[in-house]
Amino acid sequence: MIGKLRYALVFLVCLTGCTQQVMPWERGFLAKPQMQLDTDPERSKIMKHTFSSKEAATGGYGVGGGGCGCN
Amino acid sequence: MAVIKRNKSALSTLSLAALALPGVMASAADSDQYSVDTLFSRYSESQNRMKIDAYQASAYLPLTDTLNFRVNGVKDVVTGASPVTYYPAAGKAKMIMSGASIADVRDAVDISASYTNNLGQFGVDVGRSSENDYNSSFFNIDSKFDFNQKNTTLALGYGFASDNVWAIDHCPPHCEGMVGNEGKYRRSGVGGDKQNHQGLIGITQLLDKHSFVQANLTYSYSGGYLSDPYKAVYAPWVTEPYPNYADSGFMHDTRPGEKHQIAFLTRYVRHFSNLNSAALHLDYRYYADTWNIGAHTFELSWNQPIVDHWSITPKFRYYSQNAAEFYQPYYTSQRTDGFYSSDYRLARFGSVSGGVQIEKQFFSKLSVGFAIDFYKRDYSYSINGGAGSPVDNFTFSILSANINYKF
Amino acid sequence: MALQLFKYPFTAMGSPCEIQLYAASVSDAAAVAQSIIHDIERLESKYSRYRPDSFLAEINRAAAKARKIAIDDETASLLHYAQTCYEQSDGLFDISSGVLRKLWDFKQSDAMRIPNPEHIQRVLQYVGWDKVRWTSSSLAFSAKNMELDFGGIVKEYAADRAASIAYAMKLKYGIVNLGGDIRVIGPHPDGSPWRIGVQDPRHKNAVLKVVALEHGAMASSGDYERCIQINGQRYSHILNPQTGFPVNYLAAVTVTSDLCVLAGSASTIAMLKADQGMAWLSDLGLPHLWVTVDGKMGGDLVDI
Repeated sequence: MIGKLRYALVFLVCLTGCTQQVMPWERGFLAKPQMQLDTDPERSKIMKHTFSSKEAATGGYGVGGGGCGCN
Repeated sequence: MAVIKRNKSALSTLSLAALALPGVMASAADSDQYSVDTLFSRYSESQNRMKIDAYQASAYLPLTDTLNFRVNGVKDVVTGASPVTYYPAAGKAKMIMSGASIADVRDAVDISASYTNNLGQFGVDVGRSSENDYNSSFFNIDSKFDFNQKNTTLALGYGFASDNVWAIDHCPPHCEGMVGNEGKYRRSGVGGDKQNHQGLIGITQLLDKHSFVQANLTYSYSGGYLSDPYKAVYAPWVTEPYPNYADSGFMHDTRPGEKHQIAFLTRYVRHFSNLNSAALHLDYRYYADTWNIGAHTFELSWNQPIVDHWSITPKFRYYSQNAAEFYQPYYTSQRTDGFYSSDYRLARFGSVSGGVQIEKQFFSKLSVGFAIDFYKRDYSYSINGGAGSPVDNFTFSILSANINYKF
Repeated sequence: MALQLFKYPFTAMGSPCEIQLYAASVSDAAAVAQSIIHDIERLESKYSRYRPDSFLAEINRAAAKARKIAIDDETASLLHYAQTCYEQSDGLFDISSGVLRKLWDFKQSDAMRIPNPEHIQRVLQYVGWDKVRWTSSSLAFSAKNMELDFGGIVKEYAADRAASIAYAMKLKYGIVNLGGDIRVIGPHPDGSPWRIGVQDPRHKNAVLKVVALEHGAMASSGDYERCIQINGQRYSHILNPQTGFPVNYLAAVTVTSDLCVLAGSASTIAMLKADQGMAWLSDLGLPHLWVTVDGKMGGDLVDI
């Protein structure tokens, strides 16, 4: 079951774009700090907190709140 | 002696050339470093409306190869004023501000642990945030699983938050609740508890050795007191006085007791070898909720390494939303559903923001950065529809400085 | 989670090789070993001078006609490393010296004669890193009939990359041995070092010295197997690009360093430096061991 699900997911992803297998030793560029999804977690935390307290939209980036009176 | 000197430099010259070979520089210790990140930021709204100084600190503690902890702390010091309500004047909305009455401190702390084994990566995060008018306790669990020789990563997450919100008044001038006893007191008739459940499913896919994409879907359910206890709406049919302001014709902000939200986020990151390893980050998020708000968010940033471990990152963001179905800047007639809110965050509006960040790294241990961001909200920037008002147009800036240290 | 030791012997780049890895399961170890071997095979098929379809063969076809050829980043960084070795060895470490092998037949150990001086001089015209022009994207030769050979670099480079691949796959304890070029991924899980024997250049199964390494690399250069005797004089397969002759002062040099590629080129440069090699090594400052052709031994690894 898990195995099938796994292949279904892989298949789904492979369908959506022309991806090529990236080997572990080819990940030097992807491992660079500027290539991380969150290059500056502390600063993006305050920016997301600010945007979500001034705008209606929230979510997408991950689960987790922090509470906010946000006048 | 001269010969020795030359050969010491021979070793460093050869070492440098060897380290420049692709793929020889990785070390086992890379991911296992203790680190501390700190950030100070100052948020200032236009017309001196509100100012927030935020102090953040975070410590990363790798305990073993497979288990690590992180502790985060935030202190926000909030001062200033914010809109309370609106009333019509010559067919236009006029704003009533709270007066420079806000003086709040938010303290938040959370502790997270992450464990990695053959099956995947598992994390748990527990925390609490408290203000003089808001408490929140929350926990999140998340997991990541690699497939396809680690070219594909599946992420699953769940979060729960239990919040309590109320309004604080000061005596004087608002002494209805505690005459003869100066200080803060809790306003009656508003506030309550709310709960929030969130779920996430996401996939990260490497495209080639220079780029990858991520697609996340989050769903969130909130139930309980979802109104703003400080805000009022103009409701001319109301005859009883509005507490604290003693005016008739106003009532409390009253929203539905439930909200379902979804957000679909796609992110693309690309590396440019021929531009000194610059990185492009592109994000698009679609958001919708059961209050009928839909929103689009576009974000773009360009991280450009320069020389000597300096880097510069310009950022741009565009946001647009339509109004909640029950939102009006002011009301002229009663609604059958009984929901009223003039909160500017539920209005139709758009915003553009941009900024630039400069970062410098020293000895691959210490890094210091500064950033400035500007944000401009405008009723006319929205590509969505619904009610809104130019009276809520405003701008803010955020100045921030960070120091990060790896041990 | 108890870690077990898994061993993967194989043959690559003309040498017996072995990877030893500590992992929680055979599938974890096999995945890492497979990735490492895949990378070694990639480098072998790219830089082998025996394969006509290799990129090096393509370079050498361009070199034969003194043509210009486009190169990738990896090749450029190897050329940069080769250039650094050339400069730091005062021209002795020269990746264009392989053409001199035409003068000496190392497979035939008997009845070998010293080539005549005119013949040597003629071949030496095709040798010389100073006749090579290169940038980050192209390589050009100012003389015809030249040949490049990454023999002294690529195997060691592959060993260093193997360790990086293991780290990227979260494997921290193990060792890679590519025909005597050794890179330690990390110590045994209890923190104890790997104990590596340095082979006696004159007695194939004898160990000169056992070196303990928790991390880093060890590489050797010497006339262990491929050597020739002419008039009773032993010559190694390492050729001096300035004289055209094989070196015949040091029999073997072993160097340890953080990186295998650095240990490898330091040991080769020391061999080429002949009677100056021992002084060059002790000035360089890397732990080392040397044996001369007449059996003398020295270096700071001897005393530990």
